[in-house]
Amino acid sequence: MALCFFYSRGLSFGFESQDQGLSRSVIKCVYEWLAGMTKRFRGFITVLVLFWWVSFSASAQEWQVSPDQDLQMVLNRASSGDEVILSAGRYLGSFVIAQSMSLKGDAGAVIDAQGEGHALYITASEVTIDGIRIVNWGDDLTEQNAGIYADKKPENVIIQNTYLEGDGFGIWLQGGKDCQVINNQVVGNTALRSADRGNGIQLSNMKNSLVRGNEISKTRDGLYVIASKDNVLENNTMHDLRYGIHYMYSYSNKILNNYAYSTRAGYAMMNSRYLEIRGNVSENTEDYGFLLNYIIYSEIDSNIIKNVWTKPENKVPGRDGKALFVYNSGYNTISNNYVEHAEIGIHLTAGSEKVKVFGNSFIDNPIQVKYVSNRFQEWSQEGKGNYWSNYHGWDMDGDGHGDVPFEPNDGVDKLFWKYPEAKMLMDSPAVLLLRWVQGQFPVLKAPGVKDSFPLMKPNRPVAEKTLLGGL
Amino acid sequence: MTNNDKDKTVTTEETGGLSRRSFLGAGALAGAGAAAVPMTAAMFASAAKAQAAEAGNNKAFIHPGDLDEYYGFWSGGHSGEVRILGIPSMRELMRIPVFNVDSATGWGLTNESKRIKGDSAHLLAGDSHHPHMSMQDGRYDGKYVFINDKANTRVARIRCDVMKTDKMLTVPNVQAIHGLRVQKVPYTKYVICNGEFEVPIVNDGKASLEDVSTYRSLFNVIDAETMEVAFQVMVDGNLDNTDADYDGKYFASTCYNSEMGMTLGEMIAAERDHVVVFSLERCEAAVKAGKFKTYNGNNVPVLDGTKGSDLTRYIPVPKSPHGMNTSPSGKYFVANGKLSPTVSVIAIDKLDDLFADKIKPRDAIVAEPELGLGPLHTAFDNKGNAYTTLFLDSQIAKWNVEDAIAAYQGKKVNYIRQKLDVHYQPGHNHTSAGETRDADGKWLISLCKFSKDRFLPVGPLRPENDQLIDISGDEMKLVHDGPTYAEPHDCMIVHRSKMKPNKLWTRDDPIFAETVAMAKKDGVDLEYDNKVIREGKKVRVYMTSVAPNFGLTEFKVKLGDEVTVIVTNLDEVEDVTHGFCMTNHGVQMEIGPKATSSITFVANQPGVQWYYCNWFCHALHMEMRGRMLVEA
Repeated sequence: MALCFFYSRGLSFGFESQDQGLSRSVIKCVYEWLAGMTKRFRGFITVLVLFWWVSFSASAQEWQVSPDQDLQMVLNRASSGDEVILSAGRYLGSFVIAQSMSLKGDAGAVIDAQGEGHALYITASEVTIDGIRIVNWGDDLTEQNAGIYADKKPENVIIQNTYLEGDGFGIWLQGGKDCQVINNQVVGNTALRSADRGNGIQLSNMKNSLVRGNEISKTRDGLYVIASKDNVLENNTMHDLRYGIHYMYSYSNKILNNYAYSTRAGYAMMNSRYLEIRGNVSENTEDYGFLLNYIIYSEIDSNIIKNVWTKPENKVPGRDGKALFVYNSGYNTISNNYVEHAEIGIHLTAGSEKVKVFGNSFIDNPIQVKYVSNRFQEWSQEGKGNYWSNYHGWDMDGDGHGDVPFEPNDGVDKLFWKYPEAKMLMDSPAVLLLRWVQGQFPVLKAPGVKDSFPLMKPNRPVAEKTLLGGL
Repeated sequence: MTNNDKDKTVTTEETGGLSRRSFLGAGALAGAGAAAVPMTAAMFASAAKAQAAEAGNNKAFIHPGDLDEYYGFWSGGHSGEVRILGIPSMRELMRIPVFNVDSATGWGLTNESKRIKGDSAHLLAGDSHHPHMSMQDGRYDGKYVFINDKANTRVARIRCDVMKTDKMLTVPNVQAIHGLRVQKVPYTKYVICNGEFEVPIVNDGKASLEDVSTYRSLFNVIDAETMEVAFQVMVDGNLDNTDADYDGKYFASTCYNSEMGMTLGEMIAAERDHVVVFSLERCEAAVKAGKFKTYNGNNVPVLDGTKGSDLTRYIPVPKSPHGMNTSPSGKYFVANGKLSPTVSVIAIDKLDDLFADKIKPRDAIVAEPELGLGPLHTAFDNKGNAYTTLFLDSQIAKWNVEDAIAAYQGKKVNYIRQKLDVHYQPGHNHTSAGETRDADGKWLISLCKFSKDRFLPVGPLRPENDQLIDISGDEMKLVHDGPTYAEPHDCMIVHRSKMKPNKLWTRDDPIFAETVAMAKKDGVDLEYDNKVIREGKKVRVYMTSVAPNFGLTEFKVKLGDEVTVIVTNLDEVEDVTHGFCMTNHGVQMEIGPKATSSITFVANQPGVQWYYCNWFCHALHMEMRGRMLVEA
């Protein structure tokens, strides 16, 4: 008991909340002393001590810390509801937050993990991290090194207004719920190979959380979401990375108004149901604007996809930029999306049927539709089709849609994706002749897509983000 | 297409159009020149580059009467069987029942097949995944094909002289044998396979039942000749696929559940799982030195290869790797990323240093190319190229291994050569002789898990689609769609010159040696005698068969007798197989030329019971029958 007391005095020296820290150390010592007592008596004393403790903790304490102090020691000693504020300066090392608290930074406060481990490891719930610059955490992906790492079922963890720059993962949340990641900036390290970097923000087995207003760049993937449901991902910007959102086996999430540019895929969405994918933008991407693989019962509405092509130095046969790659994904609604300047506007295959496709605009995509199936699909809903920049019909009655149906996927189109070299012939007399021949003798007409009510004007969704090149 | 659709007329009348169809073929494209195309300069350059490569010109059509160049051994998945296909025609040549029960051949019903199935003779189902042939110095030797049964934790061997299953083993201490390969060099001394599902090492339903910390997967090393487990190696994490090197030193397996999670969410949590590499020399020495334990009442030596052991090394690789493939150059193990769009290339010549602790595990990785979404398996040609199935992109990516290594070292190289759509969702793939030193870069098979709309609809259950791809040119070319029944997981392709199957059975074949011995004990010469031997309620009926007659046209038993019919086919004529079927008893079997087969049943119905030959044999095949007279 006496030794214990002395020890805690030594530790509490130098902190502003010395008195409270001291009292709490005393409680700890009392507990240890109690451990030696009989069970019955111990119970009685415990109640007394708890009462004493609760009366001490009634009001949250504020701990102002400076870089010359031992931050970890403060974090260990702060208690539920306390607020720890970092003064300007560098806090070196990796820090663990093992109880609920708020950790905030004054301007100029930096946590520098010195190239090892996680910068902040949150093992508690009810933790807020606010306004800190966190840099230089480890690059060991096997150990999942992260700027902020929380894998002990985090609940009500709020991470906001931080700036994170490092090698491994920016923010890793695993196995919890009701968390918020808001207005953070995550920057990866381009000196590392893409595959050797961590993801910006990783949600693994998370529920009912909000990821909003973050900007992620130069990491491997921007938002990585796996086995997580009932979350909202909105207004995030992901750029100069592999996949803007890399998303798998996660049901019932809302993906709203995000912006991905300069990626290999804007949004790689896989193996999930009941998604709302609305108002997002993908621009300047090599392989996919949106990859929808085994996505069902979902709405893909009012997204903008612009400029999807494989760069010449990466071009090989069969690698094509696809604005929408809809694979094995039925029972969805794909509406009011704006698809401009992709090598393939929409590639729909592997039994992606019972999809409602209407109100979309397909503008100047060398292949508007690559439809690989033997079955016929109607792409309009209740008299509303899509806008096709290569539709040459007319609208005599002025009802806003063309008077003759449009088939973007006729035999000649099929010929083009079977023999890509034929694109060279696109407007040549030979192809015009073929199209004419095909029109006369529909035996060549492959089963495919028909839009009975093609729109006469493009339908531009309002994207909250400003496109690089404008619309 | 932009600005080129003229008056679209929609009509529905059907007319003939063969000439136009050919007009629309590649011929129409000759002389493609520059045209006004609304593309950016970048897209134009891309498109121009895309036409540079040329497809090969292998002949996939095998004319009637002509023979295929390759044998393909196909697993039948949960049909439990193995099939033989001719490549490139994709004609199915034979089915070999293994873990299933087969009505046509009586596999699982005959006494010979029950003996071979041994302790699992009562199991009527199975799930065969990975057929792999025995080798000499890294080349197929045409002797055996080994196959796993994931469903019932078994490994079986097919003897390729007769193309029948001749050994079956239930592997102890583990659950669900998944990945299986053979030692390639110097010869197939061992078959290696993975116990995939994690179970308590002492799985007795007691203290360990819910204590996940006691759960283990074991790597299994089986003697290829005796088909007994030589030893097992306990590891951390589970085990998925495996392969061997070309030096006879190392085996490597992928692990997708390093977390030892019990639910999907737990299994896919970690950023990285691993490849575990086994040192054969160190494992054999440990067994010899007695550094093993035994469990569950059997005497199979179990070595400790968990982390920190001398026997193994763990190389972290991106999340949930699946396929494990050795390049035919013998230089690399390739672990396929599955949930990562990358594959990890492990340099085998760095493994000595890794085991000597001179380098760190990740230093053995020499490339980690990004290929596309869902890489599952990689096959190789003889020109340094690899072909990886991309399950989610539903494509095959062709890439160059040395270029991928250069890119990993920071050079600006495009290691990807081509991407080819396949239909749909490819799993395993395999090149002709691609798992051996004889890889010849001619054919690639893509085993697609779904056919969706590729064939006439046949109800809700659809065939798989095994696609044949010509890889002899610079560009892969899809040449054939092959519908298959449930569910080829993997295949292997061997040149016909390696195969020497028998036309007839030899009388000393071990598959029916025990039946021959029984006959000898009964004083019966199987090639001459037609006799009924009675031993209380047990009746043994010996007969020969020569088209169009059974040696006995009738025999008499009492109601309730246990009857064993032993038939020896004396027809020395190629392809004259007989059948024996006892009507109304569920009894039937194949008797190949010069073979002996036997089957036992209870004569539980009184009166006349006809038996007949049900493998067509002769113009008077219908008359080839006889009566079992059952006295009540």
